[in-house]
Amino acid sequence: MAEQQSSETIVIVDDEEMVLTSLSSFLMLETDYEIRTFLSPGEALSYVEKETVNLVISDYLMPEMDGISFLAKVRDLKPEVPRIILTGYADKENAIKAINEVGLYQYIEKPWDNDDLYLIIRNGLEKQRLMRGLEQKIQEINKAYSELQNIQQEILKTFA
Amino acid sequence: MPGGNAMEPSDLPPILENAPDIVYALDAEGIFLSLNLAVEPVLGYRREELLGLSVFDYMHPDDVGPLRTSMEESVRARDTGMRLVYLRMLHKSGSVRYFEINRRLVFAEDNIVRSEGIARDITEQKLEDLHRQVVQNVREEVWEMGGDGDYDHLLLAIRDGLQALDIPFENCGINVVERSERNAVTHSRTLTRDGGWLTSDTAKAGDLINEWWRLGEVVYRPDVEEEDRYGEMAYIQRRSRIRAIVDVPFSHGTLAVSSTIAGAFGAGDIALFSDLASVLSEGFHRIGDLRSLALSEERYRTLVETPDFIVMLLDPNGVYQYVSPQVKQWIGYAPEEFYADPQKGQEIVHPEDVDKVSAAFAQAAAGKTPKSIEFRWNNSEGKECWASESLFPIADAEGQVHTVQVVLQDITEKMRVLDELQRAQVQLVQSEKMAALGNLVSGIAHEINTPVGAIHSMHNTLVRAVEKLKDVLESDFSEDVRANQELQRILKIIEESNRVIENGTKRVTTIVRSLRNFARMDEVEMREVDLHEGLEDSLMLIFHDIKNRIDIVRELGPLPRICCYPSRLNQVFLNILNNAQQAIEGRGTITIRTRLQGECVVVEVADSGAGISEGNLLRIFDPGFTTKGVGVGTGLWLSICYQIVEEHKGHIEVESQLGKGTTFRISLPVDMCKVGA
Repeated sequence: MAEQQSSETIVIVDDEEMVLTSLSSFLMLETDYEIRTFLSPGEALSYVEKETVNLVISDYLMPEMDGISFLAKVRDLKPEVPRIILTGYADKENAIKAINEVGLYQYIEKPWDNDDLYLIIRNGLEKQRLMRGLEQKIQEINKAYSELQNIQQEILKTFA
Repeated sequence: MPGGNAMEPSDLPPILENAPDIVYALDAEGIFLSLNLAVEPVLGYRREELLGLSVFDYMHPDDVGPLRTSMEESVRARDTGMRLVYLRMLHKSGSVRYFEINRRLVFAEDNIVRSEGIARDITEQKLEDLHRQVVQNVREEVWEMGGDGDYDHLLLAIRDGLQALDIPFENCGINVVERSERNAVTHSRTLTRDGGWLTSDTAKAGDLINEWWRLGEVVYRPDVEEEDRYGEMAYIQRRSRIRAIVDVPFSHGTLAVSSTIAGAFGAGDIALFSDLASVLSEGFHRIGDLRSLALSEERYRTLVETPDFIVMLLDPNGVYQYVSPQVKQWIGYAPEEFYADPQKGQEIVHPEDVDKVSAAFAQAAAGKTPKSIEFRWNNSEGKECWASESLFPIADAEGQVHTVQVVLQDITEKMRVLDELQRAQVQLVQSEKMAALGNLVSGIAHEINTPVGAIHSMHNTLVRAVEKLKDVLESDFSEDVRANQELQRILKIIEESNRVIENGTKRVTTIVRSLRNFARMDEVEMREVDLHEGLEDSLMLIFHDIKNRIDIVRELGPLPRICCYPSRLNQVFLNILNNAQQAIEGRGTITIRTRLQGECVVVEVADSGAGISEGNLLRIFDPGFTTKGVGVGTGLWLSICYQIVEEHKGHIEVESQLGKGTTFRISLPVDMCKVGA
């Protein structure tokens, strides 16, 4: 496994406790990610709203709210957070459609392979980090730009 | 009068003088020489009126010639013996009397002296005979009457009879009343004495005739000019001068006789007419019978010779007495072939149906009516035809069966449609079943998938954890700890467990995948697939019946992906593999061979099982055929396989040897996709 950087937070939602456990056990064994697991999508949403989250994984079929709706709400709250859906064979086609509609990063098919899972998560976080870095740079540029504008104003005033 | 030889009446002895028969003597010219008293009541003349006059003047004119001839012959032959003569004399009233006469000639030297004899009046007897003769003649004509109802020849016979009896009639006619629900119509046909014909359908006269016919009694009008009780003069032509008319009713109308002489018909005549009328009744009844016979014959003939049925009549020994001609069109054998060979029927009936057919016939021959049966027989070209057969025994009054009536109907087409329908229904039921099963299976697969996924992932995590644990032991603990026997043993158990969990999970994963593939029953579209995958999935599903018992030998050639309905072909593979597995008792081998052969993909499944008998082999793809016994199999599967393969424009064949095994061979066209698209 690759060297991990500072701990990033991953939220996992599934109505099956055994799925949550197997995913989190693997990630805790192999990575330094901060893992937050939720049986209820509702509770997961309030966590995402309040805390800093770097990636969200959700099951497709859940009794309270389906994974697509849940991830759509996550997008509304934190658009920059990569979202991954976990699907069974029968839902694969629907899940793929949803990837485009809701703008998902990836899907993972059950039963999953742990190495594949790790790669998808790592790439997702990487993307998220890059996006965040890009945003920071844009903000810096914007800031520099407005400062430049202010300076320009000052100069114009001075010479006017 | 010649002298000397004349006999005086007083010459006769008293016993002859008073005899009931006429005793007479004539001279050579026929002049009465003497007569006894009997002549007076018999001919109506007084003796004195006749003596000295010629007998020929009192004879029926028709009889004069023959009598003269006979006498001349006797003279020539000098015949003196007694001779019997029949002749007619005329009564003073003009009526004819019949006589039976014994006469002889008396000669003196070479010349006839006189003729003498005794004449007996046989008129009553003669008339009775004639009467009977006339009735008999008419009756004979009646039996000649055909179904057309032409009765002119009857009238001719009646006229001849009336003439023979010297009845003074002018016309004779038959009036036929035809009844319908509303009214009665009268058709009249009349023959005149001299041979003229008259036909009329006069409604008014018809009403009268109808009335008399209903009345059922003889209606005699002795003189219509004198007394026209029924107003008939209006219909009688003046110039015909008809005066006396009698109508005698019979079953279908009246017999009418008329005369120009008033009071022409006596009681004897009317009795004759009544006898004739009853003969007419016989005749007209017979015509009615003939007509209804012809009608029913026609009716039964159309029934018997309709193209949809064959009727056969056999005696109880199975000899053909009648076979409808349509049999030729149906099965190509002519009725004559059945007449010639009583075994014909048996020979062409399907061997498996012979017992059934024979049993039904035996039952009918014994007087019972068996249930209808359905059987197969081969036509002259060897093609199998289906027939439904109903048998009816026909018995005489004593209950002895003399004929068995067999009605056969061609149901070949019906059976074909039925068979098709059955297949379609079976398929429908099966696809419904498979769809339901598919839903169930995919539901189960989905449910199993989540825990399997968790186990699979968790197991992987566990393996990683053990590796990390070992690393930790390696780097952070002393040699003592690492060499600890108990620790090593536990690690070994964990690794063993992991290996078993891994194998188990793999197997469950494979089964779930197979189920998932197999359960794609709702797929109606064709897809390109690898048949080997379908074969492996099917094998997986019957794994529990195969493991540790049957070796699976795979001789798989390279196959292109072919276009098909995957789930339906999987049904075929599953079914054939399952059959192969069931055919093997105990240990054995199933060999799966695949190859590309020309334009076809060939899949062979060969088992080392019990094999199939030749008879069963022929019927193996028939719906409902099973050797597995009630409750074990429906016998429908192979018929479905056959149909599925046909849908793919392929072939399914079977080869088998008892005791050696069975091979099913399925060939499917590679270019089915092009055909299907």
